[in-house]
Amino acid sequence: MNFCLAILLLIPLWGAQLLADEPASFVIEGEIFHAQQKNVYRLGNYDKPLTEEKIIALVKTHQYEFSLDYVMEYERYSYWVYFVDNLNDKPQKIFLRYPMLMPESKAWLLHEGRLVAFEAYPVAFDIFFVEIPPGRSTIVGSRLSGGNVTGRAATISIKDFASTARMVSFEQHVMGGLLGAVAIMILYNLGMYLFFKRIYFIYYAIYTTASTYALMIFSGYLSWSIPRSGVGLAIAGVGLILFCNSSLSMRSSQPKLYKISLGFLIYCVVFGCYVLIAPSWNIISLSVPATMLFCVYVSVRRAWDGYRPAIYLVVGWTAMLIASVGSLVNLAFFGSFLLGNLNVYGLALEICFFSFAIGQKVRLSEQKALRESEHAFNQMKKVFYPHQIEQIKFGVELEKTMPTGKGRAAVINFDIIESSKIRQPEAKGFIESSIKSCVSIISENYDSEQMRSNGYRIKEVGDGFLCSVGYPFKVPHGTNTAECAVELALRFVSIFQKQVDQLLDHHPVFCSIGIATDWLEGYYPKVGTIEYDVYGRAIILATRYESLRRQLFTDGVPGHIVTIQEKVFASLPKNLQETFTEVDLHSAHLIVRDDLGASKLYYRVVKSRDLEQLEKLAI
Amino acid sequence: MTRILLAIILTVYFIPTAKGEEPATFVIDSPRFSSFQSNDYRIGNFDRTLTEAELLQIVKNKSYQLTHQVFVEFNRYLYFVYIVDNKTPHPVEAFMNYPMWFAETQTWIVDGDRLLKWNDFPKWGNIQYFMIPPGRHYMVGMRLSRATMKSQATTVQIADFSSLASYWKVSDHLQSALFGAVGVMILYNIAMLLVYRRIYFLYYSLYSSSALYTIAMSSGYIVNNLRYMGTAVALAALFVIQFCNSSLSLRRGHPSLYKASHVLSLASLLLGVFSWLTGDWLGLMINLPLVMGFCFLTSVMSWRAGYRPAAYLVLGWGCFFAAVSLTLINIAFFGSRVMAFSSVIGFAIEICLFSFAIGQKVRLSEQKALQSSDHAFSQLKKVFYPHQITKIKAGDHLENTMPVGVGHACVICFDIIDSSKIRSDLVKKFLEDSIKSCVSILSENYREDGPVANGYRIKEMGDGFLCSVGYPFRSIAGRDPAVTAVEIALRIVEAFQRQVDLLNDHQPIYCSMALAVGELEAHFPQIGVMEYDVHGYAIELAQRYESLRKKLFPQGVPGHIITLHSAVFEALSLDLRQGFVEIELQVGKYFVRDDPLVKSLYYRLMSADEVIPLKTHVS
Repeated sequence: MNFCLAILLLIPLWGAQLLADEPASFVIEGEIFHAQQKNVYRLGNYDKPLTEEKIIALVKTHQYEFSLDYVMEYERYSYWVYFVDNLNDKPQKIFLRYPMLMPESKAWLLHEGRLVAFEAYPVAFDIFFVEIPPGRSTIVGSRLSGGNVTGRAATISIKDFASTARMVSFEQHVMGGLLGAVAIMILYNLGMYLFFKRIYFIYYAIYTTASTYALMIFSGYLSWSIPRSGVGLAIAGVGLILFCNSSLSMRSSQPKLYKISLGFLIYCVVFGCYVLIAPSWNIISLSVPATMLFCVYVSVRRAWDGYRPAIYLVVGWTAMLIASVGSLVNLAFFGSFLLGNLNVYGLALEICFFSFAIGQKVRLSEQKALRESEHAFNQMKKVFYPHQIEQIKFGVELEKTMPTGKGRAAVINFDIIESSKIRQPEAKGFIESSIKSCVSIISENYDSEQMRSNGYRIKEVGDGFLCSVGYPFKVPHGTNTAECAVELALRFVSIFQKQVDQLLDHHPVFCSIGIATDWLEGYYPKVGTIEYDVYGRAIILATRYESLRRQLFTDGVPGHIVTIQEKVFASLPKNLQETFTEVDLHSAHLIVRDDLGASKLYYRVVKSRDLEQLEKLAI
Repeated sequence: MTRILLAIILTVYFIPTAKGEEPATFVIDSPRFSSFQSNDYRIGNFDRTLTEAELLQIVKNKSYQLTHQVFVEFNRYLYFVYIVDNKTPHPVEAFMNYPMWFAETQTWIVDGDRLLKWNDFPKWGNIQYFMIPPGRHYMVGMRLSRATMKSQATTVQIADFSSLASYWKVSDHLQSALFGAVGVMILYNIAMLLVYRRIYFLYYSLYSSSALYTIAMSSGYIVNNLRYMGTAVALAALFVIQFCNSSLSLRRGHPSLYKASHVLSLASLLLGVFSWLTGDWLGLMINLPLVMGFCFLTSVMSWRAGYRPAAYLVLGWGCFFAAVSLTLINIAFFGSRVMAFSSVIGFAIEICLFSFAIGQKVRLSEQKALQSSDHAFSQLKKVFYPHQITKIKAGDHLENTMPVGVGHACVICFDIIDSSKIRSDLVKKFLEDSIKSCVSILSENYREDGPVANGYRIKEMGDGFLCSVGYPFRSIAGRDPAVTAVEIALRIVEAFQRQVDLLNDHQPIYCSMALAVGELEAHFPQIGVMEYDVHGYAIELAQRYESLRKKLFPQGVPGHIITLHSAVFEALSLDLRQGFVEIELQVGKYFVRDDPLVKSLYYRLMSADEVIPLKTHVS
């Protein structure tokens, strides 16, 4: 009898001993605790949820299997048992945190032969709480898996109320912050797309949306599903490659890499389709890093080439990679919930820096346009007058920036007499510098608003040039056309003589100037390049009068010669008229070609001794 | 006696009951509860903290006053009593959620002759919790205020954990989403400031930062201090005004508003100083509506003036005002917890739309640069050849875009014979059209590489033009310029005759051309307008030969005439030589100026009928 009693007593004690020998999954001690899962007792995966009676029966008959790994199967219910040792001497409220969010997650406390359901913490992810008595408690958990996944049974944690509240508050803020940042960047970049119509804004928005969607699944904000997260990552991969291609201008700068990127694009699409068929975690862990590494590589290549937007991409990638490594280190060694969100920070920084890259690219485009515009205007300045540049800057067409049609002008034809006889090798330099210095005073007194100037340079011809006074630019206030032309001509002589003086030990070199007034017509050619030009009788006459010096001084000129038309002479003030010598064409048997009506001409020989007076005139 | 005793007992019993009828501040009637205070029992504001004994004495003597308003003073301790009525039969864990985060906050429950302190909940702000037994209980509260302000006594919330956790789930995410969104936009705009160097990015970032600081303080994320808040609001006001000024270009667009903005900026700063000195809420209450109203007004005015970025500012302000109105309506009528976040959402939208305004402004700036560049190049295209434009776009200087120096060419001098005799009503159009159609032949076969073309137009002169073949534009590979020039001359005659044919019933009009070969020198002038020009002996010769037709046919030319310099004729194939007549100059006593050694020249006359069937080699 005693023996039977002893056996009866031993059976429950043996069972209790067996339970006590099973290693605890969690051990909690003190008011503040954070127990990380050490093992799991697997009850198995089932197609349908088990009834409470069935669960109790399985636990009581110890039909679970001790393991250090968990195994979850796609769309099947996983059941397991945890043993929690509460080393405190009073009941303790515990908060059980499952990783990620899975549909139909549950937890029960096996208490007095029945299952007491944990209460759900009203947060986005799976946290359940219940009060457990001192000593060992048996907890049963269940989850419906969104994919085939295995791993170390160390992902579940149990914490006290205050620690959980702190963690939840922190995580909600971190995730909320990320979502806010991502949402506004997506919105902003879509807005920018509407303004700029550049496709990389759209690619950025696609990549950001898809990668955030995947991150929300992994962070437990959205229900865990490998097909959905896989498709999300595939879309993120496609968006990322397209974004890199367009923001880094791969097609033009790195054609080979561009072609490879197209291969990755196909790879991402195939991967997205495949993960829908085979919802395995291994597929994701193989494909995502490959795509990312490729994009890191192309960013580094472009940054190395000095392409500035790529530098931001590299910084973004670096932040992301550091965060990922930090997150893994934390998972392996520290388990801090502050560091647990490193991936989120990494993604936020990456998104931010990627957006900087786009901003930089837009800036480059603007700078390019500005540079081109500035360069174009700089080149224009070489061809056009400042008033033309101003008008063109205001959108006026070139053809409207200079006077066209007929106008009266005095034309000056300047020629170096017997330039072919100037000593070599100084001849070329002398001709160039003397023409240059003479021409430089034509644009003096230029007034861009009233379009006034000393004169207008019509043409340079080797050892001479043509310029007009009075049209197309009006003469400066207070002067008349003829007087202005003659004074300008005398200044040419003065300047020319200074150049001659620099030819040491050289025979005298003189210039000849012809001045005539008549009509001139300004025009833009109808075809070909629209170069402003003037033509007219005044030009022809000035040339004729200049060439008359050969007939006037058949034995060579005694000094610089200024030959003027009768009309020009008539318009001069008396003091200036007195300096010219009259020639009666009839008595001198001279004819001015193309000016058959002319009866007189006037000339002035300017010698070196007259130059002092001319200097004063110039002042 | 018994009745008297009973009456006394009942009276004694009812006196405290009558006192106990003080309306409860909070009523708990189920395990799930959440309510805002319905009143406040004010003890008063003190310069020091009260001792536990003093507090118990106050409660015992009921030295408090029922009120529906809360009045706090800067740097003083506010003490108050709440009556909590737990009508459930069980103790409940209640969480007291105070508005904002005060420097010191404490809650006690009166438990007989002692005060039991509530626990601090580990979260931003002032949240405390305690297990309240069933029945009516007195709570004593204390807060140290860093502001002087009044409000309705409806802001303190009491709730169970699950209800509050659900609320925090929303509020934590929304608040942190706002922080994330605004934070990332600040970062982004600072980066854009560095990239673009435009001041409005800085103003935007400073405004957003100051406003965010204010929101964080009023939401209980930072310890409340009206001195800091007043300063932050003043800074936000200052920066938003500056932001409006720069982003809306007020200085240029609305000078009077621009001046007013300075006055307002000064007023905002003064109100900030007032807040700092007094710690009074009043400064903020004046400053905020004033500045927002002004900015809204300026945005509307700019928008109405057609400035597109202003539309986003109007929209942003509109959303913000609507959100603030919704918040106020919610406080007054609904008390919805979700609607309470309208202001936060409104601010986030405002920040986003303001950012759009900047984006739009940047786009306008880029478009302006692009338009300016396009216009500049479109004007350059009128003056320069496509290869020059390409070179200039690539950053080259104008002087390097055309060949300079000496080259061998054949010059064609074209003139319309007796153009003054063309009927006056037709002359202008005819001259224009004929020159246009002839010159357009020169541009044929133009290629940027080389550059290569049929010919180069040197100059147009009303009823004629000068052009060169072979230099500065190269002729088609392997062809003698003289041969090409003659072929072009024949095509020009053909094109000219077509124009003549369009003049019905008009006397015949003929053209004259002369061709001479020799060296040409192309150059850009050393000074002044940098117009490309060519000059050389060949040009003078061509002009001389062309004018010889007057001597060859003093009675008028009986058809179109092409005169050739002997060197040109010698370069022609037998086929092309056909039709040309040789003139021995000595025989005819002709003299060619500038070419005294020439012995003979060649000309070809072509009647109108002869011209059209011409077959030329140049296509």
